[in-house]
Amino acid sequence: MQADPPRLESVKQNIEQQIGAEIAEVVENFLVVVLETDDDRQMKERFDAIVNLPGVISANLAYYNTEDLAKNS
Amino acid sequence: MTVSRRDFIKHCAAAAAVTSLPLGLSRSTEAANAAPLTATALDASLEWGKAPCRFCGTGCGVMVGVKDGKVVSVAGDELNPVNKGLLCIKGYSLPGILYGEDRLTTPQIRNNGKLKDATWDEALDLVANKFKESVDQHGPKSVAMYGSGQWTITDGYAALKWFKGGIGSNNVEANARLCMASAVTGFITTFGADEPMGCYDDFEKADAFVLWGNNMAEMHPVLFSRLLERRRKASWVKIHDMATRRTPTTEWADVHYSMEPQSDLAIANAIARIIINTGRYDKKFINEHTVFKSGKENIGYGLEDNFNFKDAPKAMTFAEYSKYVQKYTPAHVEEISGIPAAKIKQLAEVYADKFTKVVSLWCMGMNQHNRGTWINNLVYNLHLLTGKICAPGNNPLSLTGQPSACGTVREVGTLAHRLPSDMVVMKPRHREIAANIWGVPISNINPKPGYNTVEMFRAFDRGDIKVMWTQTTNPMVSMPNLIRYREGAQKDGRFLVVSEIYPTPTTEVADVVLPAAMWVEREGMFGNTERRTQQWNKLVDPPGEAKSDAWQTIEVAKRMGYADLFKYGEQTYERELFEEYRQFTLGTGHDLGTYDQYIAARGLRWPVVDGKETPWRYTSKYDPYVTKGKKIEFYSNKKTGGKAVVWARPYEPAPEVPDNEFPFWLCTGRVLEHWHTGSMTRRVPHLHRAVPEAYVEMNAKDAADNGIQDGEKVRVKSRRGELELKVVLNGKGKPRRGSVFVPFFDEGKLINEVTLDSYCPISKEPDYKKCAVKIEKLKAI
Repeated sequence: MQADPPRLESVKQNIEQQIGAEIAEVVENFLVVVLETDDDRQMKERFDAIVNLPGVISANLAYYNTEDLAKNS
Repeated sequence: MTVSRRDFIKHCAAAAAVTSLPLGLSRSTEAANAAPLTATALDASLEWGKAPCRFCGTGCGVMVGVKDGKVVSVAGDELNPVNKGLLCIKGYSLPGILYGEDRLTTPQIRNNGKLKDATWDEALDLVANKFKESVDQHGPKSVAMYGSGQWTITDGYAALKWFKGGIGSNNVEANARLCMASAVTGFITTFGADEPMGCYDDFEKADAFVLWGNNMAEMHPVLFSRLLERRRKASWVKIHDMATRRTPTTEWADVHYSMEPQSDLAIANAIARIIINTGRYDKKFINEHTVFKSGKENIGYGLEDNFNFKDAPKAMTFAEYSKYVQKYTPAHVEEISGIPAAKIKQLAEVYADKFTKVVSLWCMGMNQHNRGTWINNLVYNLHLLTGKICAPGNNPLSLTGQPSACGTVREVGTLAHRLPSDMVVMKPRHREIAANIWGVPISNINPKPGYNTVEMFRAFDRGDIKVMWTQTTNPMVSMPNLIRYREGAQKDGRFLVVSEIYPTPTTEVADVVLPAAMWVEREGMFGNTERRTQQWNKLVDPPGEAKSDAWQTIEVAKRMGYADLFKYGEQTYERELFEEYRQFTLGTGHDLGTYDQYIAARGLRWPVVDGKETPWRYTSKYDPYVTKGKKIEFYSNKKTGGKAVVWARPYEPAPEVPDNEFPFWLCTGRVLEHWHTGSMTRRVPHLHRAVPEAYVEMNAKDAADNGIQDGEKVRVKSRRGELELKVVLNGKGKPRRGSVFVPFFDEGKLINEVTLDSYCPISKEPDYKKCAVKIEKLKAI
């Protein structure tokens, strides 16, 4: 995702406060965020919450995986 | 175990995301060591295959991960130059659309009003018999095939060959008539050939982007992020957003121009006038590469059955053209458009300034337009007058909404007047070429065009067409003035066959429903906006007995006695169909590569000559078809000696404009969460929950004037139909005063019962963006 450079710090803080969201890497004003949720509904809600944060220019998907980890363990 | 698997997946996800960051960004050494890129991005325990995304016409590359025969993972394909590893939120729903609970898995035949399971043999025999009976009794014009810009290339080619080479009927159409036909006629009337000269690489070279009624941030998000990235790197770059409502695109644009619906015709002419009157046209380019023409005016709106129109082009001089545009003064166009004259001048500067490289972008706003061909012509005029065309960073580009509107409908030619590779049924030489490739007598191919889409459904209603087959499309949601066409399809003596993946309002009125295999459940090819043809292999089995559309068509054709047209292997028909179709393209400037080249590549942009793609057409630096010694040549325009046409086209009003009784413009369109008629995305639970039903966006001041609150229910009513909808004020889209917006994805709230079936007389594409409605406040019960 891409943040407005002057608001990068506040975007980072806001994301870190979200449950199930981890900032994996920050390169200039681009952030790589990993979201983990129990179901697709939560995923959509959290994705939208991040998109709607003040200072977020755009958010795109790079990788999506759905797997029942409990089943696989 | 769970923890390590979880961490591993997260690492894959993060690594995939990092690989998709814009080139030139520097990672810290620490970060690079912590998460090295390359192949670790994809989980090696899955089987991976490449495919273009199933949704829009951008053509993003997707890596599809399969486990136990099921698609479980998708990642943006970093090797694909379209999206360089990114996908939008719709891409993330790709696995979900395959696995809706109510996938159609068995052929069904209607019996005593109810659809009942049948065998493939029963269903195919019935369909073949119905087609044969109708052709024998009422002639080839009594049957029709209505396909899709989501058809694969071979789906479309099989249908075209069967109808035009076998049955002798030109009633082959596709839903791309509803979204791209004006782009086609715009390109053909101006340049003599369909599809763009430029490509997405223009985005990294342009200084300015002008969006003509195009909500790119939501409809083409990956491409829009390329625009934003260009602006981030080059601070002088500006995004100009011209639209009838504010959208998420507006939020990131530098300048917003709020325009009255239909006024784009006047705005484009005003810009041309400023370019000419300030002497900033490119005289040399105009002399060498253009001619000027005018056409008929007051050309009607296609509202009556069997509407017919033929343009009568007349040559004109540059001086005559200059005089023609003089009435479009900024002050006059301010009155028509609502855009202040000073802002019109500001926009004109973008085109007039010779140092500003400009890319014009548009989609349905200009194409679904009762003067769609004209507005396409008028925007090309701006690029031709200034010579800002056929050069990296300087081009017009019509974006497409479906994954293969270009590759299948426009290139294969699944339209009522077309044959492959821009050929038409009306020309004897073109019929001869097609007949030779198909090995049929030339007399098999009917020289008279068939019905265009709106006329096809009108003919089905009247009974002139008796048997129709639709594939990969949902006309009982998407047709304008829908009530007439739904009732028509259910009349006695009509027989409707529908190939689909899920139950829809179209399968509800079908006599036979055939279950279709989709996307990576079969092998296929799509062609995107920028002339890029992409291939994918079958990665998973389709559910139940579902089969590809091409297979279904071939099986019915064989049962009707056309086996000789389809002598392909059961396992190899996709490759064989494509290689045969490719013969049409060789040596025409539309040359496609071999099937094997597409298996190896992340798509190739045609013309593909000696295995090499062509990013920019009509320019000698990139396009091998330009005559030696010439820098630029519009070689497809034989009539003009290789020149493009600058058209004198006027502003004319829409067929139905707001009045005292129906005081609002109605504009329809898409939303980010749903794709087109929602038949796939409404099956993805989180998307359905996010936007469960259609609504009406209103301007907050209009709502206040009418005593309407946010969230309140109102009745949206036109002369044709009405619909109760919740009002959204200050949502993602904010219409300008006097207009409302309703999305069309919701089969439970069909806005197309309200819309008007007017169309552009040249392209025959309906205008879904303009009709008049009233908004009635519902009384509390």
